[in-house]
Amino acid sequence: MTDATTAGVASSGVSTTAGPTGPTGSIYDIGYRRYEGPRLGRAHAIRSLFFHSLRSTFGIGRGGRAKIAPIILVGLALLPAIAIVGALTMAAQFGVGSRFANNAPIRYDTYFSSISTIVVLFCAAQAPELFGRDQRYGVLALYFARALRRSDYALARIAGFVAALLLIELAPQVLLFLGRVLLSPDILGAVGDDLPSVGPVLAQAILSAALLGGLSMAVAAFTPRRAYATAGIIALFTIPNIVAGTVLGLGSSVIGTWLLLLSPTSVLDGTNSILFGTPLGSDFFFIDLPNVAYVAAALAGVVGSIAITVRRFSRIAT
Amino acid sequence: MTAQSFAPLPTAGAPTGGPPAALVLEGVSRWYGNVVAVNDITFALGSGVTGLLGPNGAGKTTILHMLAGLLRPSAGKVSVGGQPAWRNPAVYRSVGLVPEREAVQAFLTGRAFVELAARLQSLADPVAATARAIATVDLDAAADRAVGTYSKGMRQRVKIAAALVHEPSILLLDEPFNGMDPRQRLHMIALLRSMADAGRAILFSSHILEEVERLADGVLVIHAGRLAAAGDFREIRRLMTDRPHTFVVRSSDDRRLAAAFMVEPAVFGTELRDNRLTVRVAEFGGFTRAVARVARDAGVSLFEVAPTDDSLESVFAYLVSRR
Amino acid sequence: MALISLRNLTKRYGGAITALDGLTVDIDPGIVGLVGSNGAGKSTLLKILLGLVEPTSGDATVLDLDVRTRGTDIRQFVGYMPEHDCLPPDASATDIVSHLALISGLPRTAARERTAEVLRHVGLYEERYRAIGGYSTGMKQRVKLAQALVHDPRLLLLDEPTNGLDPAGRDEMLELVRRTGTEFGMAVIVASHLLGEIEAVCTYLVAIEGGRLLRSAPLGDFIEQTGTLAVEVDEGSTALAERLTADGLAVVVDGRAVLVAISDGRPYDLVRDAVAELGLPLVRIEQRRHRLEDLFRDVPPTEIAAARAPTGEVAPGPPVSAAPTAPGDDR
Repeated sequence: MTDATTAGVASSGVSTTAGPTGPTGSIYDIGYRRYEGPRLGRAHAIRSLFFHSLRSTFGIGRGGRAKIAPIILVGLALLPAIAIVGALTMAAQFGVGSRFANNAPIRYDTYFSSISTIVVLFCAAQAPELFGRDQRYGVLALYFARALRRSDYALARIAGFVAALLLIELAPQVLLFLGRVLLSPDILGAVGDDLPSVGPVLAQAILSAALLGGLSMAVAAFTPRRAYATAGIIALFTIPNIVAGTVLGLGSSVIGTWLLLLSPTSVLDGTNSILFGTPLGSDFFFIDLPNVAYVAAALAGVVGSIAITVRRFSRIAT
Repeated sequence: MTAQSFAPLPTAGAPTGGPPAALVLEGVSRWYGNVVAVNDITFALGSGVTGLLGPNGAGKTTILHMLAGLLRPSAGKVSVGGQPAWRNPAVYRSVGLVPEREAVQAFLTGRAFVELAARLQSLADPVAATARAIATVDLDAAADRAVGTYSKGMRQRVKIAAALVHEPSILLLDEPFNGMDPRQRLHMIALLRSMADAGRAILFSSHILEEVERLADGVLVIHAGRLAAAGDFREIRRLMTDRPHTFVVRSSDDRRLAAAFMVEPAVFGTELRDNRLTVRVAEFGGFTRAVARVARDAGVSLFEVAPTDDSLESVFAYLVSRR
Repeated sequence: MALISLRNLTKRYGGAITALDGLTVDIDPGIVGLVGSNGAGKSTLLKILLGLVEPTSGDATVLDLDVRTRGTDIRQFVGYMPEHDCLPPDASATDIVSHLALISGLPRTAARERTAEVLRHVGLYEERYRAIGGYSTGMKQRVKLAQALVHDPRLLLLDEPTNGLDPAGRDEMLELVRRTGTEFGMAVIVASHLLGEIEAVCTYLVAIEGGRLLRSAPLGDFIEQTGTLAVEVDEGSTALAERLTADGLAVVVDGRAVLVAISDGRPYDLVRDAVAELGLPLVRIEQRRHRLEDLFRDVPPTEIAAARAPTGEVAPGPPVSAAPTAPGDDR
């Protein structure tokens, strides 16, 4: 930054008093400089917004207070995995590692439902941050005045949030995997045993992140008020269950079970069982819905919520 | 900093056929807990237009609301037409207040809003009074539309109509030009001017100096709750003897004129630059009486003579910058 | 080629409100003032130029790019400073400006460097690391300007840049605007309803009224000299007027000033000598100029009716608009 060039339109020139043996001095031009470097366009803008959204979801770059809720919730999501790994360590010391591993209370397929409440809380807490602040403080005008389409903005933010959820869903699974594999007497064998689970785990994590993330962001997109968005998200994830449960309680098992397709968490339970090949718990699912119903519901939820959000931002006034 | 006494503004006589128009504050203060909004202010106003100037938060709104009788002074006396203002129905009848905040229900038509004000004032013929007020602010065309459809300038005008409907002799306006475009501003200025010429006392607050300079006969400058200056701003400038005046002169021979000026005791500096002669003057009156004579005696023609900081802008800047 | 070219640009909202109505104008680089009715016209025009709002009909090109089809490209080279609040209170100036620089397409390192530079140019120093929520209005306006400049745009759109600023802050912001137009060398459009500011800073003016073009010309055209000399003396104006009339000049008194028609070089010395002989305190000798606001007046300002009358008659000017201040004042 100390190059004494005189490019551009800035005012002060360079003056150097040079003598063959005497003292010298220079004045450097620190006026306004034009930017001649590369301009990376839409792709770069979208990428930057994506990473910014991902970081913001965890409260990174926004001060200490913003990190409290995410840290607590992420910690809670990891807790079962940590506990299992800790128990495995103990069990391995007593030589009953593999027996414990095979009968562990929480496994890959059951992990998702065990932390689903925590993930829902995370969505309710953090999704409003991403869309709410920009709307509340009028920052949208500054984004839209840039080389970024409105749809790009919505999609980048959604993608960042979904990626964050993906991390939350996957991190404990990875921990579990590492714990089981590394603490096992026969590492390669353990890897071979657990490898088939990797596919389903990834698929379910992606589905879960996309569905829960997409729906949460759709709710958050429509209100700048934090409290309303949080309440709306929680309502979206709990009320359908209650409604379905009521209908079931009234005796209509067919309608009641079909109604469960309106509940994102139940839909994810369905896809979980499809992917891992485990039977559904009998508390709610009184009849067997065709597999395709769960998958269709999940995809509809993802696509629909994203479409609604993109449309919202295409029309919002700045 | 020498102490300076500012003469209060002249109190003109009452307009024909109305209550006395004097607005008087004597040693008035107003505080909210530890926050002193207005601190020991004294002035008196008569008919004409006076601008109440000051940065945001200086206490202007508080003063206007006290004069309207809506706020009670914590100390001192606020009198309107010789009577105390606080909760005085006689004062409410002779004062019209146009507050800054939006105080209009969007679903009412303009006419309905003004008529409401007329009825609240218990006027004998509210409909006729409403029609007159609306005609005064030139809103006849839009009077029967809902206020929600009005532009900002029209909303201001309907608020003014409501404040005028009972034909008060005193009008208080808080930031009346907010949001108006140039044409609306000129209309408003002409309207207020004509009302003042008819004998009303008008006090309006603003932080946009070019508006105040255009309209006001005199100013009251409020700085952090205290009255920093009062009167015609040019006179105020003359009183600032600790700030030397500067004049810009263009003539047929600047250098010769500069040399001639340096002989005058009122002048303590000259500068030749950019085709102009800048003269720094120790004594305003001395210089102004000398300039034409000196030029004539030196045989130099004067094309332009102007004080550089004779604007309200400069005066205001000086007033709020000193401690 | 003009910087901005509008042809019959029209924008209607819901059939009821017409914000722009067949606006046709070419705007060249410089510091251009945009004045007119509040709300609909100016802001809508700026948004259309940014490609954020679709025109109802008509065409608009910015930097030779059509706003309907090349909006994203236009926005790479345009900086926008909105009128309303638009900054998140919990981010620092550095954070938000560098983030927005990235969104404008700057690579990460360049974004950081330009942010630091631009914040220095607008006058934000240590405060740039603090949260914006604690900034004064003046500082917030500077941040808004900084984010508009950080990607080195070719065109800067400023919507009421001195909104909410006190007189000192206003001066500083106007100085900054002047510098961006001259020193920084970019084309600037300033939308404002304060004519004094426009006169102070702009070189060109586009006036819109009711969505249509009222006038578009260099600023000099609006503030031409009127051929009248205004002489102000602190006392004795009547005596001065009488004396100048006796000297054979066309004279009218207007408020504080004595107006003299200028037909040739005669008046200057006559005025000087009259003032000197009467021993009056001379405050001002100035050519009256038109002012921007004359554009919006219905009634022309005071003029000397028969200004070029060769005889020594006093032209019957408009009545003196006496301000009712101190009685007994000889004005």
